[in-house]
Amino acid sequence: MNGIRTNAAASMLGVSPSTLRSWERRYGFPEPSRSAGNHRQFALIQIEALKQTMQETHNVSSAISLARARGAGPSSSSRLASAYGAFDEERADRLLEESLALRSVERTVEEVLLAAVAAHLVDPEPSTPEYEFAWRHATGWLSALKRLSPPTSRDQAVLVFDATVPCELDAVHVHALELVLRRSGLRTLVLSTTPSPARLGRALRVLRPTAVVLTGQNVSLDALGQLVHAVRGTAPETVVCDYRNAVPDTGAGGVCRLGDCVISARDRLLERLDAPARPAASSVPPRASAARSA
Amino acid sequence: MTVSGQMARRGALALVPRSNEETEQPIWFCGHCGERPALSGAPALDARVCQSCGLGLLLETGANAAPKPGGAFLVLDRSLSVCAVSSGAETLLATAETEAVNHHVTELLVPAESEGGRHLASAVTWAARGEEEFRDVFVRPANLFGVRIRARIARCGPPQAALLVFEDPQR
Repeated sequence: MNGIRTNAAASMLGVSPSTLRSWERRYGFPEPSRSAGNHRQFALIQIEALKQTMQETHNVSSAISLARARGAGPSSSSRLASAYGAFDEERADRLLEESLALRSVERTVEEVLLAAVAAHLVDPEPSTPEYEFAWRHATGWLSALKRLSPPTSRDQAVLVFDATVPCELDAVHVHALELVLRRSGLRTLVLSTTPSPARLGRALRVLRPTAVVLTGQNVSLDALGQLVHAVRGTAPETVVCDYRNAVPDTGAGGVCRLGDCVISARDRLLERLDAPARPAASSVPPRASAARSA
Repeated sequence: MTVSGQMARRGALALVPRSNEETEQPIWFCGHCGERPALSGAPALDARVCQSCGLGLLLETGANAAPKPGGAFLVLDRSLSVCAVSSGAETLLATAETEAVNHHVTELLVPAESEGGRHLASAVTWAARGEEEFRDVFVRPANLFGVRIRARIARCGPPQAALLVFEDPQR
């Protein structure tokens, strides 16, 4: 264990040594061990955890109970969120590098990066400078990782129709999904929903998608239905999937729901693609079909 | 009389304050003892422990809501959970901060308003969202009847929260 002396621990927390000792008496935290010379030795991880929780709370007792509950120190996502809150790009990069030393790229993306961006999303505010900084840093970082993705190793291809707008939380999730799909060996193409379905022909002939993923909520269901119809016109067996509720869940079986989390979305998609072929489902999302028939 | 003559006879015009936001100076205070440290600027986010009592973190609010040293006040978040209890409020509400924190505010306080009064929950929610305006409400301790205490609710932080300051009965 890394132990530090009382003066150093107090200095890290910006308090006097006597204040630190009073916390030890009052709250029993941070709890020092004793050196051979009977000097207090504070665990660095406890001091760092407390320093972090002091930024997230309104009083010392809450900060201490939060630090104690976290045990092994602050979560990486909260430290990254804190770096975003301070507009500290260098620290954000360093924290992500640290996370990559401990976790896979996929887990770093889901558990650290996306969680840290979401932490700055304040409803009902459309956006804050901290959130925008986080969003732009995260998308830049995901783009860099996409360029380092291994070459495709599967025959299947996935076409993602992205109906998000910049700075939307869903948009950074689309970047993340594209990254993890590429890293799982799938050929991936992300298109916005603005091109006319009639102009998709060349892209569809080249890509020959085995799955279409619909994501984002800034497009009408009719427009999505037309895009899916165009894809099914070229590749009738294409699996239609929904990521993060682009299509309302009516309980109908035509759309494969991938959920909200990027790793589970990848797993469900791969499971579906690797499953034996099933008869083609309805060519348009259920709500669009209902609207048309009405 | 010429225009310039009329202008010369006119009294000096006073500047009208433009908005509350521009005139209201932010005040930093300890979330436990209410002391106001002499600061040249905002303290660093991770160095906000009160040098006076060592038990509170420094928070910022507007001048017309800032509690007095030793005053009774609570800090509440958007979900109406208690985030901090001042030493004065511990005495007033007969509770300890460690017991009250993370509990719902209605376990400590309930509205004590006659018809048309502002609702405690909405006032706290608005303040915790960062609303600049303060609101006055009447509350009473949850386990005590026949008592009404005037309280002012305003924004505070960081992190963004609502500050509920009990009116000083001596005032």
